[in-house]
Amino acid sequence: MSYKARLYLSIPRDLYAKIGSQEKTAELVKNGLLSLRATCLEREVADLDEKIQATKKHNAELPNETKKLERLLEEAITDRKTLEDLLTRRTR
Amino acid sequence: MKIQLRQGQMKRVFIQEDSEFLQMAAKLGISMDSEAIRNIIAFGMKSTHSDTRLIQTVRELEERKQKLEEDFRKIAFQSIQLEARYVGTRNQVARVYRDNQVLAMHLCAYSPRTEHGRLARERLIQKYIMNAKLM
Repeated sequence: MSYKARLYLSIPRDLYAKIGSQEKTAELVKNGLLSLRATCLEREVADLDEKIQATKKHNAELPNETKKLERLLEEAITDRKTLEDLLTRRTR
Repeated sequence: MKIQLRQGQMKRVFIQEDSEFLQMAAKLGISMDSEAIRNIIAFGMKSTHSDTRLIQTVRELEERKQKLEEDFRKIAFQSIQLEARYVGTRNQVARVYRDNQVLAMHLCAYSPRTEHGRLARERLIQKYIMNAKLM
């Protein structure tokens, strides 16, 4: 879609009367769009910042959780060896 | 921009070969109907900054967003690697735990002769059958 297409902006008559001039109307539409864009960007930046902080926290916790699991695994492997030993003695 | 005035309730502003408004509106995902225009103008009235300052602010925010997106991609990749290791270890634990439960069940039918064996049997049956947790 080409952005060079013709565009009509319908502005309420009362609002236009309040603004006073065509140039001022154009300036206000431009400033309004820019303000809106800035507000949206501020929100997006804040959301991203929050996501980054949450992911950093999660990343900092994961190695400790993995270490806990590794200790459990070592323990379970030792137990398996003991269980196998006990059951082997039974069959001898 | 050229503005044409029409009769009726609305003034019609005609934009000729000016992509600026449409591009911005498209980026924001908003339509340019009369209600939206009213709100946009209200925003413009509330704004205390000049358009130059606003353009500068938007540019700075876009740059900051881009940088944060890059940072997030790196951190998310690191997160994927850490989670893969965590899930891999958790699955290994679950597998060995289930094997031990089966072995402990076999052990129930056997009474070792030595005291050490009996204690080990009791401990392992307690751990893998009586106090078994769902992994």
